[in-house]
Order: sequence, then C-alpha cells, then structure tokens
Amino acid sequence: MKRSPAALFLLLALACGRTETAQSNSAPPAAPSKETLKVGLLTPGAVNDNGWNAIAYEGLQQIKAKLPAEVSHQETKTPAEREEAFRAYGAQGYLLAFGHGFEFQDAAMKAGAQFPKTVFITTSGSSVSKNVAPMVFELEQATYLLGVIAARESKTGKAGLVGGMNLPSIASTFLAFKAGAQSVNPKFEVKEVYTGNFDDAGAAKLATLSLINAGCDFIFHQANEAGRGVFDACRERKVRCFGSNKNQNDVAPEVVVASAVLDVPTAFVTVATRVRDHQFKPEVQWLGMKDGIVSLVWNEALKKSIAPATVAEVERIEKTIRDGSFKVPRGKF
Amino acid sequence: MIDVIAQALPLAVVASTPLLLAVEGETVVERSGIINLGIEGMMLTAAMTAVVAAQLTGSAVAGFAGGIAGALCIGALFGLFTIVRRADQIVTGTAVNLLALGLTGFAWRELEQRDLFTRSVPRITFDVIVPAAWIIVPIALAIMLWNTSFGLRLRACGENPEAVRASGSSVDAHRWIALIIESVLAGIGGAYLALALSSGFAENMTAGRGFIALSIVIFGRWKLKGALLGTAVFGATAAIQYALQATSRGVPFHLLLAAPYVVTLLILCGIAGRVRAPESLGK
Repeated sequence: MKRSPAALFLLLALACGRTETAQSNSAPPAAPSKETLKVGLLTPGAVNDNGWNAIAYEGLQQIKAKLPAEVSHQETKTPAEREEAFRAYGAQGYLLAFGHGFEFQDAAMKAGAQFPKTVFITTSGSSVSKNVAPMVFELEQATYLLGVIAARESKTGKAGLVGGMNLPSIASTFLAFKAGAQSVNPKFEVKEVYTGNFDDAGAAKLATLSLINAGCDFIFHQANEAGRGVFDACRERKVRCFGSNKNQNDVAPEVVVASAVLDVPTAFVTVATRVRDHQFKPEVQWLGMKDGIVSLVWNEALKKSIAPATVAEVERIEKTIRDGSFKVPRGKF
Repeated sequence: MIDVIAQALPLAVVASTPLLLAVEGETVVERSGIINLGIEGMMLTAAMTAVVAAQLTGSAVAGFAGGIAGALCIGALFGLFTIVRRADQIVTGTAVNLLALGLTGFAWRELEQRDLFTRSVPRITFDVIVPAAWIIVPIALAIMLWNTSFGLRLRACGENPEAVRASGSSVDAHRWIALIIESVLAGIGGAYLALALSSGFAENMTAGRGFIALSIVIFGRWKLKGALLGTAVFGATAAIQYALQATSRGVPFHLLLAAPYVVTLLILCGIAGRVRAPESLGK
C-alpha cells in the first residue's frame, strides 16, 4: 500500500479545510410562540469569512440585541437547500427571513407565495411580490462624491480605479465615481484596471503603479483584501487615494483622503425594524445615506489639504442626495 | 507605446521576483527527481510566517527568516511523506496546498484581531532580494548543478537513481538537500510577496504563483536559462498588460489578463529543443 500515507494525509488536509465551514449551522429554530419576534438568516457560505457572510451574521446579532428578536441562522449552498430553509422559516411562523445574496431570489419568491405571513428579504436583486423584496445598498452615493473630490483636487486631470473582478455591483460604484468626476469636469479622465481576483495584493499593487505611471493622481479601489496592494503603491508614490466599503482611513493615513463606507449590519436592523413596525412595503428596500447605511468619512488629518470650496461642494451635494432631490446614477443589475 | 513598455519593465522585474525564486527552487527539486506540487502552499505559508515574525520582532530581516522557517516546515512535511514514506508526490503536493490554504486562513483570522497585527508591517529599506534572485541565485545554482560533482549526482538522482545508489551515494540525502534549497528560495519568495510587494498577509495571497512556477519549469525545460526567460516573459507581459489597461486603449481587459499566459506559452513552445523531463521525475 504505497499510497496510503499520502491518501490519509490528503484526507487530513481536507478535514482541516472543512472545519472552517462546517461549524456554523445553528440548531433548528424553536417552536412558534406569539410574544417573540423571530428572524432567520440564510447565508451562502460560512459566517466567519471576515467579509460578505460575516457582516450579515453581525447584522443578525444586532437584530437579536436591538429589536429584540429570537434569531436563527443557516448556511445554504444549493437552490434546493435555500428553498427548504426558507419554507422551514415560513412554517415555523418567522416574521422575517433574510437570504444573503442575489441567488436567493427564486427561493424567496416560491416560499413567499406559500407563506404569506413571513416577509422574505434578499440582499440585492430585483424580485418583488407582496411579501418578498430585495434590499439594495446605495454605495454609489458615496463613490459619486469621491469622484467629485478627485476631479476638484486632481492636478493631472486623471483618476484611476482598481477593481478585483468586473462584477455588476463593482462596475456600478465605478460608474457613479466617473459620473461624479465628470459632473465637475466633463473632460476628466477616469481609467479602470481589473486584476481578475480579490486575493492578489501584488497584482493590485502592480495595477495601481501602472495607473500612477499613466498620470493618475487619485486612486479608488474595489479589490477587497487585495486593496492592501493599492494602498502600498499609493504610499510609495505619495499619491492620494480613497477607501471602500469599510472605513479604511487608518490603513494608510498619510494618503487615504476619505472612505466610502457601507454599514451592512445597520441595514439589516433597519429592514427588520420596518417589518416589525408594519412599515414594510413590497418594493425594493433602498438603503443609502438617508438611512445612515452609506456615508462618506473624511480622514480629518488630510481634510485640511483639500480646498474648502471642494469640501463645501461635497457637503452641498450630500445634502441633495439625503433629501432625495438628487438621484446618483447607478448601473442596472 | 514604447514609453508604456519602458515604464512597465522596472515594475515587472520587482513584481515577478517571488515567482522567479519559486521557479528556481522548483527547477532544482525537479532535477533531483521530486515534483513538488505543494510549492504554492509552501509560499503561502512562508508569506504568513514572515508577517508573523516581522510583527513580533519589528524587523523585516527577522520576517524573511520567519518566511524561510515556515517554508522549511512545509518542505519537511512534504519530504517526510514523499522521501521517507515514499508516498505519491502528486497527492502529497495537493494535500500540502489544501492544508496550507486552510491553516494559514484559519490562523490569520485568529491572529489579525490582536493589536500586534494592526500596526504597520516593517518595510525593507534596501532591496537586495531582486538582484539576488535575478543574477546571483541563477548563476550559483547553474554552477552547482552543472559544474560540481554534487550537482552531477543530484541530477543523476532525477535521471537514474539506481546509478547513484550503485556509486555508493544516498539518493534520499540529495533529494533532501534539493528540497531544502527549494524551501529556502520559496520562503524568501513568499516573504518578499508579503513584506515587500504587499504590507501584510491576506488569505490565498499567492494567488496561483506556485502553479505558474510549475508550468514555467516545464516550459523552461528544467534549465535555469529557461526559468529566467519564462519568468521574465511572464512578468513583463503581466506588467505591460496592466499598463495597457491603464492607458485605456479599448482592448477588453479579459483578453489582456490572459496575455501573460498566452505569450509565455507561445514563446517557450516556439524555442527549438527537445522536451525531456528528468527520467525519474515523480518516482
């Protein structure tokens, strides 16, 4: 049996990889009762991923503490699992069930038709029925403002965008950035570079340096973990840049001027509160600056280097976004 | 166009240094008859241990030492199964990659919450790695492999291990030494990726460099000249395609992202010469 040690080792290695994903299935929800409000969450992956699924789980924990509510979480990977899990929440009298992703729409529509008393919310998407709706985050409102800052403060008339993959949600934030920049100066050039993944910080750094070589003096990224390479390149060449999704002003405080921040956990709480207070309407749940979900956070130390007129202009536009008189352009998806 | 290339090439030399170190290491180890598919996991582990060591000591030099130590651990594990237990090298290499991806991801999530890891990573002030990787290491390895009797025996382990045994030398000892050389090089490569090309660790940050290294070794015909040429072509094309994306000439970025693979393949396939792997590779 020449191969057996290797095969054993392979199994061991696989087991190590699996333990991370297998631990997060929670116990089946308890029997229904009238007093407690019950909220369920389905995620497409493990909730300790430090990203997409982790922020949804954080949202669920905040719902538990703030509403308060009894909560349940399940990890579902296949269409059949999603439908089954949604149906289970409906059958057990859950008031609200979240499906964390575009891919939960079909399951939500099917379960929604069968259990009219439960509200099914998907994170992003467009399917709406009487008790089914997506929540859509308007990060574009903040990236539009970043575009305005870049166009006002740039000396070269060029800004660069670094993307991991060309996903619709990412392309949409870039589109808004471009629209913001060109609202200031129609000839302002915005260059885009994609690296093809979200892991390779080395590639993101190379992409950023290429943009700087091409004359860009403001950089914005949507490269998640690989964004580290973007900040490194900017720090090396002393080029100003912006943070995305999280407040990244502290990652490279000498070059990050501001961040476009998205507060997903609060979005979950906001939607759950709407449903609890019977404020839920069967329509896309837009969540942006008005709701405190999206914000532009300045790096106070670098804000001084920005012309007061630019800061005032950004504040003025932000006000029109908040009161709804100005709609920021976004991609269709 | 010329200025685009001129600006991209210096970036390419630096950015492809970790890849080059991996290719050089894998060339040596495959010459000794071992195919180490786990080099991706080896570099990834080195990247993480380098960051941990650098953060604990506040010194980039200690970071590189930590990277080498991490890669040596993976090398020892791989050698234990393939050289000592004679396990299948492909299966073991695959297992090493899965193990490294899972373990580094898990360990990093636990570690990055600590205060120690939120401060910035120490930077290297004087970059000796790039000239070493592109000039000193290939010359040294070429002399070792082709101009010393040790190198002759090491290559013989890859071609005809029976002959080495018959001459009274230990095949296993030579393979262990080759594996140690590879681990040191891959360790430096992983550390350079985390400490110089980036400023910290991210899950799966090697992003397939180890697998690209494996194919460059094959297309480079198990020679150091081929290793240098293949890495140079791959690295230069990668840097130039980013420069082309940045100058927005209207070429779809998907095509540009594929360019490094296609160009390397075409150039190395076009070079005349018989493709022959070491006779006892993987056995």
